[in-house]
Amino acid sequence: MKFSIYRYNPETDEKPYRQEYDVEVSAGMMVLGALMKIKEQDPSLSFRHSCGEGVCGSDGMNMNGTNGLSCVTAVSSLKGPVTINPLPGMPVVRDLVVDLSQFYEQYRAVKPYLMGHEPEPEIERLQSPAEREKLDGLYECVLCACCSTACPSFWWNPEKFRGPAALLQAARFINDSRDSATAERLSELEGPYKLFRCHSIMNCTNVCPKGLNPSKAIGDIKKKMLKHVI
Amino acid sequence: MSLLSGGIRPWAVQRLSAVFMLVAIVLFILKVVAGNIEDFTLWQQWMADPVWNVIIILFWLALFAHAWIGVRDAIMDYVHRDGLRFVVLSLFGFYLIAMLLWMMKIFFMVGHS
Repeated sequence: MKFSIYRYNPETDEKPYRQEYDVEVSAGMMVLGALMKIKEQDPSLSFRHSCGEGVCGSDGMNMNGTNGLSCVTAVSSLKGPVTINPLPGMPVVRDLVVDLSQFYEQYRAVKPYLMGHEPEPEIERLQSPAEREKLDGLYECVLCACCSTACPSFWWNPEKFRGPAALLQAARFINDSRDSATAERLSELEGPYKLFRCHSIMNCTNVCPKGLNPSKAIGDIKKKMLKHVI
Repeated sequence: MSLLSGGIRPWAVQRLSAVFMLVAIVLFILKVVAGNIEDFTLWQQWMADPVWNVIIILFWLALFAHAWIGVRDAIMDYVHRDGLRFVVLSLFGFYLIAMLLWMMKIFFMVGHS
C-alpha cells in the first residue's frame, strides 16, 4: 500500500514536501505499524508514539484528512494511497511531530484539578454512584489533541479559545460533586472567547478516538452558565 | 454592554431572538393567509392593532439583536487585529443603527399618512 507522508525539518528544509513510501500491509495492521515499517526503510522520519494501544495519546495525526490516533486506526479502514499529515494548525517541530504548547496552555488555564474551599477532610471525599456517573464521558480524555486541532474555532483563535479538549476537562470538574469552585470556573469561562467561540461544528466529537463528546460537554457548560447567571 | 463584550448573554439572546422571530413569522403568514388581508384598508386596520404593533416592534428588535450578535461572532472569529476588529465592528454597528432609524422613520411616516 502507498503512503504519502508530510515531511519537514525546519532546520534544513526551505518548505514542507511529501514523500511516498510503499509498505507491505499485513492483516490487522494499524497505521502506527505501517509507520514503524517506514521508519525501518527511512530512519529520518519522525513521529511520536508510546503505548501503541490508544491510552497515552502520543500519536495523534491526520490520516486521509481526519485526525486520529495512528495506533488504533486500522490501515484497512483507509483508502490508499494513505495521506498522513501532522495535526492541523499546530507549529511543526519535525515531520509529524507538532508543538502542542498552546494546547497545554489552554488545558492548564481551566485548572484541571479539584478545588475545595472548605478545610481538607480527614477521610476521602466520598461520592455516591450517581455523582460518580456524571463524570462518565468526561474523565476518559487522553489529551491527544485530535479534537482541538480539528476545530476551526481553535485554528482561528488558539490563544483565546480554550478548545474542546480543555473545555471537556472544565466540564469534568464543573460536574464533579467534590469540587466546590463551580461558580469560579463558570465565571472564568465567561466572555466572548474562552467558551463561546464554539459554534457546535462538532469536528471534535467526530474525531475523538475515545468516542467522547466534547461538543455536548461544551453545550452543558453553556446551560449551567445560563442557570448560574439567572 | 453585555451584547458587546459578553459571552452568555449574547448566546442566550441569539437563541431567544431566533425562536421569537420564527414564531412571529409563522403568526404573520397565518394572519395573511387566514385573515383575508385583501386590500390596503384591511392592512391598515391590522397594523393599527396594538397587539400586532408590539409583535412587530419586538420582531424588529429581535432581528437587529440577532444580526448584531451573528456578525459580531463572525468578526471575532476571522478578524484578529484589535484595531481592525474595532473598526469593522463599529462600521457594522453604525450600519445597524442607521437601518433601525430608517425603519422607525418608515413606521412613523406610515402612522401619519
